[in-house]
Amino acid sequence: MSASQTHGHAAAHDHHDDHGPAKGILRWLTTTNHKDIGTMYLVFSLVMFFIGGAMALVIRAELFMPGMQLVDPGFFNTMTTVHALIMVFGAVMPATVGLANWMIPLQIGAPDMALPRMNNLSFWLLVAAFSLLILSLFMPGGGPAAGWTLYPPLVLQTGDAFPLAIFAIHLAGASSIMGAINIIVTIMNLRAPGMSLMKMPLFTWTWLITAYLLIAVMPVFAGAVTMLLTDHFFHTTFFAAAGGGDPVLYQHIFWFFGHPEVYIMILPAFGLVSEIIPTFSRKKLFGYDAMVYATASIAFLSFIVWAHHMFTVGMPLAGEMFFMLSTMLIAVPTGVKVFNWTATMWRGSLTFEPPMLFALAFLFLFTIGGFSGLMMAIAPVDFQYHDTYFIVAHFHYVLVPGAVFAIMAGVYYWMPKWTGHMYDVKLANIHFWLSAISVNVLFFPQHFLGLAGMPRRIPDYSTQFADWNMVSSVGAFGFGLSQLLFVYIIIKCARGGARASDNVWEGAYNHGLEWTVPSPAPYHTFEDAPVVK
Amino acid sequence: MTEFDPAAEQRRRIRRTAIVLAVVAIAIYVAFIASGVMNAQP
Repeated sequence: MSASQTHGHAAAHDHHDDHGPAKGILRWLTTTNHKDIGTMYLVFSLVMFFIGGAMALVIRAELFMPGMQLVDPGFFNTMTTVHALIMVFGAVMPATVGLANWMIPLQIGAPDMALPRMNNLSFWLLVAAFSLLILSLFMPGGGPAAGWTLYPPLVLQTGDAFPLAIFAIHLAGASSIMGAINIIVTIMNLRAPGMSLMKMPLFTWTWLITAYLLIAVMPVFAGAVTMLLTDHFFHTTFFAAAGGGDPVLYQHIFWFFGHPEVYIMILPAFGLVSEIIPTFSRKKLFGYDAMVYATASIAFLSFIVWAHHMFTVGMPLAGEMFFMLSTMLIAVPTGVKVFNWTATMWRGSLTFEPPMLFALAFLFLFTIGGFSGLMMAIAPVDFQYHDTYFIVAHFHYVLVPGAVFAIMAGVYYWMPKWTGHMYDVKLANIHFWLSAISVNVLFFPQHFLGLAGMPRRIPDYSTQFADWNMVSSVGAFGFGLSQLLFVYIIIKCARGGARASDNVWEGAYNHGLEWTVPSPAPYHTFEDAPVVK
Repeated sequence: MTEFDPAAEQRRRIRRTAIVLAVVAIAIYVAFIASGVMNAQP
């Protein structure tokens, strides 16, 4: 982007610098500042990563050996269910929302989000939602245990945790929709003069498209769980065949939400990688326009592929063919992206700082997850893999070394801008290598387990699966422990360290207005809009 | 004659966009529940 960023520093040093944030706990309860709210989202998601991660470790500890070791089967099912709900809605999504809150106003030259008070409400609703969900674990009858998809009729057997979990999902959904509205309104109305849509940094672009996806599909999920609630308490029969309803209808509605939800988590990750690779290649992003159109195409296609999650439920052959081919079609825009990231690096002046390492790992490992997804898009093949550990390996490759690595790359990329300090690069490199190795030890063997026929969501298994389960569990504990280093690096950086320059990265100057403000970014930025050429 | 106030106009646009998006979200919510009602006729 060619930008005259003359006002960036001026804005940073204007009179608003005189009054910083309020002091004490009230600052965090009442703040409407996008940087504060972004920080709260990021800290919240980190806490959720550890809570959800602890649940994953309970699962992997139980599966370390065949036989029942540590927990009873009901609690095991609760762990798989709540682990997924927390990681999807409490960790990955809030982390990308936190990055959006921090960076979108800085990238487009806006003074703040367009609706700052609603921004505060969005965050605190999320805290309420996950407090309720975690409290539901302690209700009589145990926590929700029907899987994160909450399929009826199984989910209707949940005990007193059921209304808490449904209310938590409603609150989290309302929070997401408000966040999405805020992002769209901010991007459409508060861009700096000259910042046309096709000049916006890719992270902002991917978030704009993600926000539209959120508004389109979160109400669908809310509708589905509302119907579950009335089936449970008001004797409706939306999903009960005995009363004229249809349990398969729930699956259609859920996956009409659920598949775009995958892209809600991964599109911002695409945006992050599209920021980082050009910076550390010291080149402009190859095919910017194609990247924008590819993102929009993926978002559109995500609405017409949902039934590939339901091949084994049974559907007409024409339906299977349609959903098989439409799913394969997604590989085209995704391939465009992978090609463009690779072409950006081609003949670039590459360096391998921590953000670039995580972005490169994303490129390789997300592609593995993409390919296993293509395998399962083939309906007759899916009949073999469905509900096995192959699908567990697939979506964890997409979401952990995919979305989570991209989020870590983003944190390492922008943390010096947030704190004004450079983090310990040596420790960050160690964190990368520990994570990259352990995540593969954790998830790659699950492909073998799935192909050999091990079903998902079981606390015990046949002895033929013992070896790879043991390897996978060792990887899980390695990955979990490695993340303690991440926390240490963040805390150390927030508390001090070498001063970060305004530009931070040598190749960053060309990639967004955030690099025109000082490090750390002042509490108020762009009170006077910069002019982008 | 009233003067054109760009800040007020921007606030109006922000409010209008937010309301339209919120109405769309609520409409989708209601539409999917309605589809469930239609489907559940015995």
